Amino acid sequence: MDSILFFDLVLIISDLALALVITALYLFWITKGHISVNAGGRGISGNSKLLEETRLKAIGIIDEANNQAMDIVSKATLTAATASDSFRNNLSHTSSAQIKEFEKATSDFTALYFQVLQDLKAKNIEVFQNLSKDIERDTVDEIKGFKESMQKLTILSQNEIKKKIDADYEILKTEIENHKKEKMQKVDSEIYKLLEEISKLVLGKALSLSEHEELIEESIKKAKKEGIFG
Amino acid sequence: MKRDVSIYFDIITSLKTTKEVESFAGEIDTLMLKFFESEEVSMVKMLDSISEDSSLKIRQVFAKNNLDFNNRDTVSKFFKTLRELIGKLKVIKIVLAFDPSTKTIGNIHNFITELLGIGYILEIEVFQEILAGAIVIFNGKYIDFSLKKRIEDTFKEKADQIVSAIG
Repeated sequence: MDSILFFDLVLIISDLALALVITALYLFWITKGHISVNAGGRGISGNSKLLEETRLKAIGIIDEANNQAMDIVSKATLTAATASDSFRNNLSHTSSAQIKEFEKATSDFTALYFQVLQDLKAKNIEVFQNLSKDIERDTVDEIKGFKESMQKLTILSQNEIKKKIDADYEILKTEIENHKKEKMQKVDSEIYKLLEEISKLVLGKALSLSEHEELIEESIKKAKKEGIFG
Repeated sequence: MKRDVSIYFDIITSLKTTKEVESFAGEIDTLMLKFFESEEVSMVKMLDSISEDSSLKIRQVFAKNNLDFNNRDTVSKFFKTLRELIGKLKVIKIVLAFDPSTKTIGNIHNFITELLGIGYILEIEVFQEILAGAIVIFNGKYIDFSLKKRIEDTFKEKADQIVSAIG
């Protein structure tokens, strides 16, 4: 569009220049020709009139040409102005459109950027959560394993200790039983000696163990006779 | 299991003193506690945790009467009845001048069983000052048949004769 206008303008200027050149040549030719003619046969007044007419005609042509030129220039100016306005409008429109496009692109990019950022963030959170869960699971598994190992070891130790204690206990039990028997035998014999001494002191004679037992049994018999057992 | 108390005769008659009964009852209570704590625990194994003497007595009763240690109902009823019978034993307290040997205790207990029947146990206290004989206490009744008492009575009865004899 702009290039067409420019081309038209150039054509108009070329036409105008051509018209001016033609007019000038014509005037020159006329002037030279009439002078020669006038000089050859006619009067000076006739030539002047013709010259005047020609001049006026030329002036008219020039004015018309000028007017046309002016009109053309005016039109061209108007066209140029229109073109300029159109160009400006177009430019403005284009700029506006470009700005809008740019804004849209920017907006889209920003939205996309935020979306990507959000996705990335969500993904990171998920990754961290998964990582956290993995760590938790691993930790729990390790603790569980450790606990089980400890339990096994503890049970093993307990069993070992129990076996040892049981074995020691059996040995000690046997030793205590033997010791108890020995002591009881010793105590029995000592008591018997002690009883003998007491009996000697009180009764003037020693009471044997069987005699003591007889006295006890006699006491129980008497107690029965007394009705103590109902 | 039939509630036949005769199967407990050997165990009951083997218990002669309150000390023995307390010890045996404690062992039965421990066994029952462990027995009811877990169904996995074997009574045969648990018997190893009590004294050999008590364990032997229980094993002999089970063997003699064809009782099954693996039958929880039989075991439960056996110990429950045994515990009840032990709780019904009557206590005769006797004060002696000496600490009797196991044999002497056995002799005294056998004498009581022959004289009064089964179901009696002895609570023995030693008091040397009674010199010989025994003080018998049962159901709040007290009778002193000690030699010391006899001597004291003799002194009281024949005090005049004794004083004059000394004098």
